[in-house]
Amino acid sequence: MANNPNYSVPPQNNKISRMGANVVKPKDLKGTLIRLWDLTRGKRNGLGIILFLSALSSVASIISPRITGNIITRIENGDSVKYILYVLIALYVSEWLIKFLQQFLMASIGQRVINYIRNTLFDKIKTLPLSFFDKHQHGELMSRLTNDIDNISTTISNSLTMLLTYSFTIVGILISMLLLSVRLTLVTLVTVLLIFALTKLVTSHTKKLFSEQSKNLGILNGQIEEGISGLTIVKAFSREKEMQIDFDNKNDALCDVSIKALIWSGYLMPLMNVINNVCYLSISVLSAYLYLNGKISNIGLITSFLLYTRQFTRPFVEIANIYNNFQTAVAGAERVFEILDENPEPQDSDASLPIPLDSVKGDIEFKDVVFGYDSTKQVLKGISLKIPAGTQVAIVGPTGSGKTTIINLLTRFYDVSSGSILLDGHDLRDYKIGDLREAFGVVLQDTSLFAASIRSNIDYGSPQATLDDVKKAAHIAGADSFIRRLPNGYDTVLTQGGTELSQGERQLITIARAVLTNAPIMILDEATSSVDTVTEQKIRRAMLEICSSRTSFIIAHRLSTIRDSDIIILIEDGLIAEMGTHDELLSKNGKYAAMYRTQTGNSNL
Amino acid sequence: MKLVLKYLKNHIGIFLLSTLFLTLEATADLMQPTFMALIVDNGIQNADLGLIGKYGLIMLAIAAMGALSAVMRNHFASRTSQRIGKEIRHDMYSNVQSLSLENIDRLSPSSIITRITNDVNQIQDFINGLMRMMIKAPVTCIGAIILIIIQTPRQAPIMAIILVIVSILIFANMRVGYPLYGKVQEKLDRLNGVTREFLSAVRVVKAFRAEDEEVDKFNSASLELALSNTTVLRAMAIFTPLINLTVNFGIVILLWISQGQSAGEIGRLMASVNYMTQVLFAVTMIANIINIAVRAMASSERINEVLTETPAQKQPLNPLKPDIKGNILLEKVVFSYHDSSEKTLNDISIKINAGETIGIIGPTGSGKTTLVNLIPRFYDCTSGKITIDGADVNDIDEKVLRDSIAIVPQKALLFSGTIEDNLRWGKENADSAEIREAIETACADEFVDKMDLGINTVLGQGGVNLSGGQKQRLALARALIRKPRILILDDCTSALDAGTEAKVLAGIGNTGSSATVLLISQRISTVMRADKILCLDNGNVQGYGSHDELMRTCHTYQEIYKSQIGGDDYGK
Repeated sequence: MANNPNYSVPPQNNKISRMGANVVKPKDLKGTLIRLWDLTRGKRNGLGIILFLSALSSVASIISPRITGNIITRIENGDSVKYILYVLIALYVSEWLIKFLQQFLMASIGQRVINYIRNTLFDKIKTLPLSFFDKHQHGELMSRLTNDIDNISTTISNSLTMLLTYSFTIVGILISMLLLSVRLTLVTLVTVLLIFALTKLVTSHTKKLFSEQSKNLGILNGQIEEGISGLTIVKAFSREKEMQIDFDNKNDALCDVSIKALIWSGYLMPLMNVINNVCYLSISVLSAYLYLNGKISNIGLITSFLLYTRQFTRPFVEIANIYNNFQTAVAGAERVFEILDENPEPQDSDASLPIPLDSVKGDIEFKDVVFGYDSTKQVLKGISLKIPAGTQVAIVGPTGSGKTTIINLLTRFYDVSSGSILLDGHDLRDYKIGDLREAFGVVLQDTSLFAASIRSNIDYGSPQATLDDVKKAAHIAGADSFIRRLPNGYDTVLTQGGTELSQGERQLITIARAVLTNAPIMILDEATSSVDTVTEQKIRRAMLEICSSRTSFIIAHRLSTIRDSDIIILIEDGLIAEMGTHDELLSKNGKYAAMYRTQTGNSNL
Repeated sequence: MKLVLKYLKNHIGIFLLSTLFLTLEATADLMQPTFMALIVDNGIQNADLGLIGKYGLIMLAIAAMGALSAVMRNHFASRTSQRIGKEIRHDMYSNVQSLSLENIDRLSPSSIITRITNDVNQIQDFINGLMRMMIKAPVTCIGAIILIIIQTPRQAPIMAIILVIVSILIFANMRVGYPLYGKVQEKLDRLNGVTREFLSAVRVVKAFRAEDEEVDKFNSASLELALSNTTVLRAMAIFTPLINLTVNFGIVILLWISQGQSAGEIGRLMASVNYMTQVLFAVTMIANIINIAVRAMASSERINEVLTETPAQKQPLNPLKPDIKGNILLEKVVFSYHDSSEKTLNDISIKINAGETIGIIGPTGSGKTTLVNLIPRFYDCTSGKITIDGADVNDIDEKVLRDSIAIVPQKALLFSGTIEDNLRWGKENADSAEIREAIETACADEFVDKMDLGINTVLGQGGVNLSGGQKQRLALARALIRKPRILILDDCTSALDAGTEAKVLAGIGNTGSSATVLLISQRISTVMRADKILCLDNGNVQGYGSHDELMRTCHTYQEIYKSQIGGDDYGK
């Protein structure tokens, strides 16, 4: 009877109801819903049945008070109620069955839809260009993949069934009430109006308070994150007391605003209750008068009506609540669609050239390459250069001069703003992007490892490699000896995603990974910056051997690393400042020579 | 739940008061049907309009009392739950501040952060709910049952049976649900893990064309989560409607028993039916409450772990407060990290005189950073000891010790606030000349001066708006401003190009300070000019002396030298 379907929502939502909690308004409610409907096409089989069931269940809740009232009238008149009690039992049992079926079916349909949307979103995310990942915070993207999607499906699917149930209930009860007594119905309607007015009043207040609360919470979380991840520095500079004071201030501020927000939103429920109770008692009293004046013929009608009154106001309150959740969910859906609307990396066209790995020569040419991460600031300002196949190229230059950017363009993490880069005579953009990337063996600055075994970290990208291949690659990279010392050797699982290894060890594994790809062109971006120089030289020698017949690019701060490259390019401020072999550049006695002298300590500066 | 009790104890007065109001509120709700029964049985049956009006007014008064109580307990519940949340956060944060780094490593910073934020929120919600409705539900439930029995005494045994069945159902729901919720949480963690990994390694994924493998990983984690969610929801689909059905059957039985009842009791029967619906509502609420409590329980365990963690390092009873000059002596120092059996430092004995500059060099993982971390007592030696000016570091007052040391870590960590705020970490009351001097020595002036707001530029969290090299220079300035007796530079110039690095190091030398400097670097040219050089390998001292000495005696050092500066005999 007084069922509150709110209690059958999935676990994510069973927070204590926060009326008027911060609602995020969607930009285009209707459009988003239509899109959502299109997106889930074919994945929501059974939704029709569920909607049908919710209509049925609201019918049950509309009929049962009438029957109860009927029974009471019969009891009062001394009539037999046996038969009608069976009806009531049948009604309750079918209500139970309907509810059970509805929830049971919803469980799998809802989760199926969530799973589908989640996978669709991830499928999309993987195709997005790097610039997207550089622009968005990881935490925020993750929250879209989990929170937003959960919100969409649980809230929308639940809201949908509940909205439907409640609408049916409201209409049904209203009709029943009108049939019972028009006058009493009017009293109830006044109550509903009062409740609406009250909700409006309270939420207009709480909206501001809740948004202030989340702002304060954000500030406090930031402080905690900073203070704890930087605890070494806090301790080193004995700043514990100051940090605590700062924390306490932010903590106090949050507490104060939260109390205000909670108290205000807390007014809603008791006040609503009062209105409900006043309504209940007005009906009691009024119906008693009416009964005595003979305007109401039977006493059971009063029971039915009182039961209806209890049921009638609740759906309105719930609908207001649902509408808020619904809006938040739709806003979440919009955030998801935002990602789905992002431009993916340029797709291969039919005209895209395949690259047969064994026939890549490795001739590379830069033609007036200009590039900027955003349109206002150019990082590369016109680079032209020809690199014949098999050349070992070193790129040096001060921090921020654009060295890594060149690598980003070669691997097509980004595309040139103007000019072009040619591989074996064809523009990079004419190749299939997958084939192109397979042609490069890359060791990036970023030493990301995965929470998997050492072996699968090394054969990442070349899963067909045998254990022997992996070991050989690790040996070349100089990683073999430390891997052997790990408890399970190559099968050691990096449970923390590599943080258990030192930075240098991580770099060695990423080098092994690149070696294993056996790609025709090698790129090493500061690959050995955290490796000691002795080990580095060993790796370097091994790499030289591998690179002997290939084009290779090496970026390094330490000039000793790149001394014997075929060609050294000094980039400064987005332009090529000097270019030549080590000896040529030294004898030129320019910027490179000066850099070299400061580093080796033979400084005459 | 001990945690909640402990904190509630301090607010027990308010808690009891709020419980009182909650009970009043529940009572007010419960009295309504009774008066309605009186209106029907006495007023209507006797056609007494005056009596009906009187009862109506009483009902109104009761409703008003109920509302007042609700407003009061709302005040109390909001205040208490938020205050307790604040207190727990304060206590956790201050305990974390007192912990040693060893504890932090063990608990992991990210886990501590979620505990202080998310888990405390769970507790806060729980307490708020407890004071708002958890007590109300049982009160309403029990009150309604008592009133039904008073109104219609024949119902007592039936009510008892229904109550037992409902209790069993709720209990079963809990037993089935708890482990299932745990599983959902696990799967969610896994999905988050896979996602986080993908996002942070996206360059690698793309470079190695492993998108499809990542999609497979993601899809399988996502499917697992969906499946275990479905299981939970299905379990709920069994229990919740079943509980409803039981209570509804109570109504049927109630009506069944009342057949043939005298007309005079009809109002009471109506009241009883009304009470049954209140029981139903209360019962569903209880089932829901239990779910919240279960989650709060898990959170309180995690919070307790942080609160009860004791610092791994002991503080001296009678701390020395010497005027530190900077003579450092390591005697047979051995160190291994708590979870490792391997010795990171093995029997190190060296003497460093005040004012000397010591270069520290050695292969990756040789123990350079670990060694310098022992001096300000970030960690304690496993055996052996470190003395400063003859006093064991473990006996020196921690604040005095750390105040006389400045460290520039490998990873330059800055805090949100202005550049000036960050620099003042080194010296709270530094004047503008001191700040300027530090900035210039660290060669930070070349970019700080270019900023519109100069040292008043606000940095984002962790200094996100600066490049690596800029951050390093500010971290350096922060240490220099302190004019420490001991300055530790832990490979802190790696993101600087060689020219800037040389300028910075020369600047530090020229400030004429007589500080002891420990300079870790990978570049031999950087350490070459130090007074003495410590060459480490695998936790052992390979050589300790001047550049010339080491070139003669230390094989590891020679090899490093050769690899970086080398002769022409080296290379292809």
